[in-house]
Amino acid sequence: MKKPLQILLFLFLASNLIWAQGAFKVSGKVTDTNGEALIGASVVLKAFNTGAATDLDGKYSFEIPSNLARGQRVELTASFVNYKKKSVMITLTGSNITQDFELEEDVFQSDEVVVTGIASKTSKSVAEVSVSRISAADLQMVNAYSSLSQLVAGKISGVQMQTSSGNVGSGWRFWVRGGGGLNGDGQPIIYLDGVRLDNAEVIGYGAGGQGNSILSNLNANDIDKIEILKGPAAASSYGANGSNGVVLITTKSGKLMAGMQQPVTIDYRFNYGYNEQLYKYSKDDFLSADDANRQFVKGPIREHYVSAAGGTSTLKYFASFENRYEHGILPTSFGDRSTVRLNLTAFPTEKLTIKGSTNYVMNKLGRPSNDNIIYGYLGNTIFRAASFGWVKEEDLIKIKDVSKINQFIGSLTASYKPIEGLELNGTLGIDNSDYYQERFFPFGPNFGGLIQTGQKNIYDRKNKQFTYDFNVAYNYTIFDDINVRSTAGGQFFERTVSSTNVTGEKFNTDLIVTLGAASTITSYGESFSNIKDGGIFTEHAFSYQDQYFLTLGIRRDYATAIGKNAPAITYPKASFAIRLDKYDFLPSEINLLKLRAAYGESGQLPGSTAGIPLLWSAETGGYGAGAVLNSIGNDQIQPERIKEIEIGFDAELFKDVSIEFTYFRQNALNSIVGKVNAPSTGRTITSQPYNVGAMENQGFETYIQYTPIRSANYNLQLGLIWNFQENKVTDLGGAQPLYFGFNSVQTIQVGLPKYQFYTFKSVGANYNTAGVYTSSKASTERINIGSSVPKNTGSFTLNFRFLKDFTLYGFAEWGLNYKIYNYTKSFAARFGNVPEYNKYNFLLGLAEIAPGTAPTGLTKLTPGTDEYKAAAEKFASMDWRNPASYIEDADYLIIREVSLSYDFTSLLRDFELNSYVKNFAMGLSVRNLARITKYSGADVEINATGARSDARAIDFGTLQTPRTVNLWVRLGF
Amino acid sequence: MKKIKYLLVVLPLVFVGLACTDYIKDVDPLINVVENDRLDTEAQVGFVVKGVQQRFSIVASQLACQADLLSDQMFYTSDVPSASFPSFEEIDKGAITLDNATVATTYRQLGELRFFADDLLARANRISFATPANKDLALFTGNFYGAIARFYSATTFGLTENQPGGIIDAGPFIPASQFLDDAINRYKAALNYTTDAATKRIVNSMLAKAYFAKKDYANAATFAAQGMVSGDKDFQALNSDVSNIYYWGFAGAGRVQIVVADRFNDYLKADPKESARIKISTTTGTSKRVYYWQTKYPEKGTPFQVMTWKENNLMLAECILRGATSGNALSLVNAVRTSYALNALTAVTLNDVLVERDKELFCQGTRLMDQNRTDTWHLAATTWRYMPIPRTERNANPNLPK
Repeated sequence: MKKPLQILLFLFLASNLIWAQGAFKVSGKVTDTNGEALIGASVVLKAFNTGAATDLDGKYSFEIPSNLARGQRVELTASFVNYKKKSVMITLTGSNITQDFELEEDVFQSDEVVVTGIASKTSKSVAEVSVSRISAADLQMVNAYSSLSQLVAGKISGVQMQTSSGNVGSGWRFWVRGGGGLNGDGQPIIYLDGVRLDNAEVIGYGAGGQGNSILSNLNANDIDKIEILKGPAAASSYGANGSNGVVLITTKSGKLMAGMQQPVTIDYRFNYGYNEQLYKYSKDDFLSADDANRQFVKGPIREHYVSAAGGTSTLKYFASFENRYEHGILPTSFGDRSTVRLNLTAFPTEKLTIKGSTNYVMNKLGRPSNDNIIYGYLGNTIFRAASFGWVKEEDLIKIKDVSKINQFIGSLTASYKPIEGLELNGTLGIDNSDYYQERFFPFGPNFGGLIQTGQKNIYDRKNKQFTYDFNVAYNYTIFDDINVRSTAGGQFFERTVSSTNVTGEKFNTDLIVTLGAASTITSYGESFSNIKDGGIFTEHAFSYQDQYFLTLGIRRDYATAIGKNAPAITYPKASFAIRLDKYDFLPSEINLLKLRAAYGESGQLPGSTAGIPLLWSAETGGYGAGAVLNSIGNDQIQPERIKEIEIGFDAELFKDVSIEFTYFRQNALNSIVGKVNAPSTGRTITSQPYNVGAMENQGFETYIQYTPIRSANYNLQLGLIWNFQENKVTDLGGAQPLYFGFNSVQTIQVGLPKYQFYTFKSVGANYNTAGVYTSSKASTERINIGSSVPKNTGSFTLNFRFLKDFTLYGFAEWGLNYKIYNYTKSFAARFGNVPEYNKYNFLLGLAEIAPGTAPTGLTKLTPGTDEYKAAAEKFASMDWRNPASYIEDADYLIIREVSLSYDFTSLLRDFELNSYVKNFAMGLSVRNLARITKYSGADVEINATGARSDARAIDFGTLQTPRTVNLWVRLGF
Repeated sequence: MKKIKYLLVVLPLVFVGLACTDYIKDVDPLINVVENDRLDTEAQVGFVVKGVQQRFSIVASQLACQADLLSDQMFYTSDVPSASFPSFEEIDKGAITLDNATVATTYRQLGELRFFADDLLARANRISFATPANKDLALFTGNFYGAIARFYSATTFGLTENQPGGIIDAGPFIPASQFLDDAINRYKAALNYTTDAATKRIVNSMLAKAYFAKKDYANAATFAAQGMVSGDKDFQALNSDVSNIYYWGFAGAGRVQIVVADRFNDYLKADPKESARIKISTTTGTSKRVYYWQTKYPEKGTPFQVMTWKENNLMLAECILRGATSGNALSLVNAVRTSYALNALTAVTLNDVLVERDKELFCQGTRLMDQNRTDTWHLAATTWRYMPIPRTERNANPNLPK
């Protein structure tokens, strides 16, 4: 450990020594157009890779060694978030220089450098594709976030974030645009500082339906920004698996400090809060509501986060440590995470930049049983009128399911510019994790009969993945005034994942809980896979007069996963943009107007063994180990191909309003459809993949931002996102439709959106000759009930700074054209736990009712009467045998984030404490303040089978997401 | 100069492109799965045989328990606190939808058993054997378990409510009688590949049972006469702590969802000694009613009874009473009874034998066949007397009505 510290110290001292010789000063003030000081703006002299940030008065100052001044003209640039950067040329004579800047607000964020492809970055004002960016660092100034999913949810047009339960560390998934093609799990590829991340939902020994997300290891406080390329039009250069988009996460890095007097700033953040039950079960809906509500707890949260950042002209660094403990809303749901991060950027020579990003996480997640399991808190209380039929109340808490996860994520990036215009970039990345789960049912209690003498499950998953990226870029000019950037490169990825699992039973004691005390082993297994993929690409970007922009590119992909007859696939792309505001005919109120169009192709890879016709594995039983079928493949299989076209415009009006609009259309071809063999063939262990499917999706994304108030003491910023997406399966190559979800309520079939609710519906009542209700009348065919993914989504953001130092931040999300299968209620009705259902059961003379299981004072109705018939029709519509009875409208509006904070920094200054504490702010944040929905169940954002299943929007004893309250304090030294 | 720079960009790309194919192929081999053709060696025959047996053990108790549920021997009630499967209720009431997931699962696994057995036969013909006994083992196993799979299908599944039979390889529907003939031929073929006398007797008893299902009592008698005898070890499907007997997890000590008809308690009340073969325990429903559940298979790993010398005796006794053959039915029945120390009967009628079968073959999956062959159906005429060939087959099989 000593050596790196010594090197670090040396670099600091060396850099300071350089400046210690004779020097002159560059200083000035940075203000906005109202003359207000901008605090924390950067002023950089790029030629010497030096500069400073402005202080509380908006002043900056830095020194340059006198011997470097040779009368040359150099560029001095001032920049600040949400303001347009400004550059001036100054002459270095060796005398002190004073240069002030007045920066103009950048509503559209034209100067933001955004990623537009694998090796291309450009300013947002000239990007040819729809680019989306979340400034995580800004959001953290006004609110508290615990995870990547919280940072992303609702903040980006065209991207839906779907959680699957209220467990701490619960799985979640993206739904990007129209959900991609037919294949894969619909998830984008995610990079963190150049490392492709493991985005698995790990279930291990299941606790019902939920897995834990490996991404829950990420410390949201470390994230500086998140950029998302939403479809093949933009993500084509990422090749196969980029069809659902690409998420690029950048963590924080060191900064140049004000005046260079202090080589480090230390920030400390403390969060204290709690999670609480947002939806309370009502006795009107469930007889056993009290039993269910009693299981919930108020779960405390405490988080300490400290970071240090600084830099010199040769080295920038950022280091952080976090410990976060969060208890969920059930007794056995918790997370306890510690993370350390060190990011270094070194500039050994003017031509070479080396970046290192390292992160180590130790996480511990406690997962409660719920969903489709008889050991669940909700299953034991809400499914049936008589609670705790499977597990006694006092025994539920004795089931322990704890996962310990250690993860290292690290990358090394080098950028070398040997000669003018030529750039060589390379990144090596590692993501290595060990996920170790222990689940224990203690000796003593009877857990549903199946576990009577204790059970211990151990699951261990090891995941190791390497990312290798390199590219060469060359900037040159053709025909004198067309600037060209030609890029070529390769991208390689390797993943090795293995797991082992074992279950022991028959413990004769509750004092020893290790496997050694199990008398018998009742299950065990091991899995392993090693896959690689790689691609080479070239891209050529042309720009003419900063007004016309064209990019052409192509990528060729190779993968272990592809069948033997399809070793490679090629994906092209092309994009174009034009800046109309550069023409004179537009009124001056239009500050920026850019039209853009892009076309790209990408795809999803088949499963890694999909190209192998038949695979056998071993199964053990009373005869020993024997060969059984494991999977059925197809050696002709190829990747799916998804073609996307997007067109749109970006505009900035009146210097107050920015508008981004994009229409997209995707066509998936050669989609892999699993044809399910007839069971009489015996070859049904998996479906057999064929490249016969097709689907299409389209939609639009709108983002409008408006800043109506902007002054020294008041600033109001409003944001609106509105998305629409729809999709349709157009071909399955003759394969039979797929059905999934409880009672096969959802489908993939031609003519319908994928995952559509498509099932039988009660269409009336059947009577016998005496007029007595006999059964509900089911529709003869399945009926299209609605979408399991909202078609319309959006969000509204309010960021209001008032009385100079107060900030009120609010954020609401909505979703429309959305349904959920309330299988919880369906099941409860069937088992006598729904008073309304019991009432009609009684009124129709079908069942007697026990006291307290239905409203009192009821009289049985007489068959044949109008009242009887009305009741019969109503009862038929509640029949659990026809799932559509319980597929409910679930349109929602969620007051997602509300925060009120106060910045004490000015006060510190007034009391002259700012030499001790640089900044100080505190705030109160509430997440999921309120949920307004027609849905009668607990939550609209959950799914009983987790975050990777085809089935979605199904509520079956699934834990609701909590309301979270945080009181936070932020201190800077 | 520009051209040189441009070459710097393009040349590495060409080089890397050429290396890509090698890169992606250089991966660690699969260790938990094996490609089909690698099992085509004599050394792997034992592994493949055990795979067939393993699938048989899964199917045997699962199918038997569900057949018992459909018959009048067992029933499902949500009054039992741990019962929650709507699919069991459908089976119990004979009102089975084509989408019933429980039925579909059993049908799928039965299809696998048939395929594994037939695949073993095909494999045995592809492999060059150095040791004839290995080939005999493969051919015996393929024929014997292939026959069992066909027997199960013909006696338990139906195209319509009362049209039993099965399907092979997404072909047309094969009526039960024809399917049973196929089973019989395979049993007979299996006899050619074993020299073990006890094994031959088991095959003969299974043959007799197949003829029973066809109501061909003359042939049944012929093979029962060569079938299992007192002292023969039961033919069982072996289970383990890892691969559990179905009765344990759904109708027994693990979780009671399926319970036993009350008459089994009545049998015990009438003669407590019957507890030697009718093993039941009680549970109380939410309504306070008492239900009985089987304890014949008390552990996860308890073997499932597929064929015993006692069943063979009762088959032979029934054949005698039906006049299909000659012999002493009473002594055959009493041999069974006295093996449990039950009182010997003084006389026996056909009905007595059927009652003996009800008791002796308790939780062995034969009651459904008995009710169907003796036409003593306990539910309404419109109900399913077999489990339906599920929609998964109908959707994927062009030979079937949808």
